[in-house]
Amino acid sequence: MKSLLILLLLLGALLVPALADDLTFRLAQDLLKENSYELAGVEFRRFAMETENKPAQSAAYLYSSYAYLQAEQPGTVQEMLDRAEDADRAATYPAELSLLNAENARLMHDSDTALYFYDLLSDDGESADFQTFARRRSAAIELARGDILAAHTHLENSPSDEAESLQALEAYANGKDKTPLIGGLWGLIPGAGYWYSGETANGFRSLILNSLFIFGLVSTAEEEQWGAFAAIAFFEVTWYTGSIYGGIDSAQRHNQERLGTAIDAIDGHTSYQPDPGITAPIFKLKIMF
Amino acid sequence: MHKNIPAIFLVGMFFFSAYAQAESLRLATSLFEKTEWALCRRECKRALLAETPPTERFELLGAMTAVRLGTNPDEASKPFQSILAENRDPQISAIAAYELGRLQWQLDHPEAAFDSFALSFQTTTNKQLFLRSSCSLFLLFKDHSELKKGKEGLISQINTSRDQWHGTLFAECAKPDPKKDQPSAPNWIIRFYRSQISPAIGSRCNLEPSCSEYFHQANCKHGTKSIPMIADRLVREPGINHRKENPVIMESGQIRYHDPIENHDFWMKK
Repeated sequence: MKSLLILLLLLGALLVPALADDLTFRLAQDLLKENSYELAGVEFRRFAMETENKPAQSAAYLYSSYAYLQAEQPGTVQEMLDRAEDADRAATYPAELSLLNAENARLMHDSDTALYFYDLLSDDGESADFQTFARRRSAAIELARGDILAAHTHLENSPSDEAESLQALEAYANGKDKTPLIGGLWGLIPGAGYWYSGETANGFRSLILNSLFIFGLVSTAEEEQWGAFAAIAFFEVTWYTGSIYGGIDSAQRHNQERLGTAIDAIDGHTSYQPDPGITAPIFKLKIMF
Repeated sequence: MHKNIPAIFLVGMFFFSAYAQAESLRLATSLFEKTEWALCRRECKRALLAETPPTERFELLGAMTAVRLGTNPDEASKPFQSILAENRDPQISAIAAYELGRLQWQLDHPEAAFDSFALSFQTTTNKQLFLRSSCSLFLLFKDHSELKKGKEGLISQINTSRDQWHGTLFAECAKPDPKKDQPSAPNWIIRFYRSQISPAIGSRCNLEPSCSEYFHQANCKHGTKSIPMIADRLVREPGINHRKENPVIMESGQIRYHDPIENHDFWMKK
């Protein structure tokens, strides 16, 4: 009887911390599902610190880095990824580590590092989903850097059918960017800068406003009403400089929209998340296309 | 916020090195270093409720985060006073005294601030805290020269570390100004528009941020370039309303269309 009691006590002592661990992990997962990323990140870290199981610790740090990635805190993501790597020298999650490292580098606009990690994921040994994901992301980065050929190569080497992406890339390559400097020069003629980038209605609005105020300037000058002239001149300077700025800005926006449309067609529908079906401290990413 | 970083790092190192084995303290310290004040405070409260040792360190860290979260200085100074009254660890007392000194200085209690800084200066063994408390004392004496009377010995001690004070240390040790991190006030054109014109014509802008706010942001970021930027915004506004792009539901329930300044200055040199 006495030994049974001692056995029960020992079992209890072992189970209580395990249950507490389990609760922390479940709480963190719930917070992640609710998109409370910073809170989830902290709870996963707590779990990682409390558990002594190394692969579970590594998984928790990976979950935490995913949460911080969603919260756009690249410094903390890097710290969590380093801890995940340190916690599990057996490297249970090499692909997940590469993907999160790549995504973090992308968040920090570090294209070279991101491309390096995506290259690791593009290896034939990885699953088709990871390879497709990495190829599309690499193509999008190369396109943003202006290297259409490299983007094309990445898409061609993707294990999935990339016909739509290649079509979007071709449409982008066949299109033409607007030159902001020319837009600005056209802007010297009120409204023409907007017309240069295809913003007809904005161009007419700018032209009408400038015409009205120039008319006001001429009239007040003819009637020698210099006070009114000064007031109207202040506003006319605003509209006129606005026309020049608008010429430049509309060209920049035109180019950005064109690039954005192409990038969106290439990897706009690609996303990833920890597999929601997993409730144990195991990290598995699910890629969605 | 970034000016806090060297201090945060050093304070963090102090906490972490002394109690690396305490995971909860490690987590709280890490959140403090990342300037995640609210999360750090929650972590400290959690540890204190569970009576996780070392409680005095959680108390101090919690009180320090409360200051950074903008707690009223009167309220914020109470935990430091209680730490100083009860705690026996000289390093914790030194940090608490320094933090209390800054709050007292902010509350315009120079004599109390002097006592606190002097306690921190004389008891700390941490080099960074030593430099910070000596520099703070120097700046406090500069603001209140009457405090110097009869303190020649202390002043000469302070001056021994003077060659190690660098530019950022002066900025960090200057009198706390709660208004420093507040967004700058709009210029007179925006103030005039908001106080005299907008109430008469009503809220007419359907964009988010509103045109006056857009002008204010542009003015803060780009100075005189804000003039053509606002003209461009006014020219584009009807088009955005017509296309109903990127709708945002405001707290009042009104629908506005998102057109942030970042969409129009991404190409400008930073």
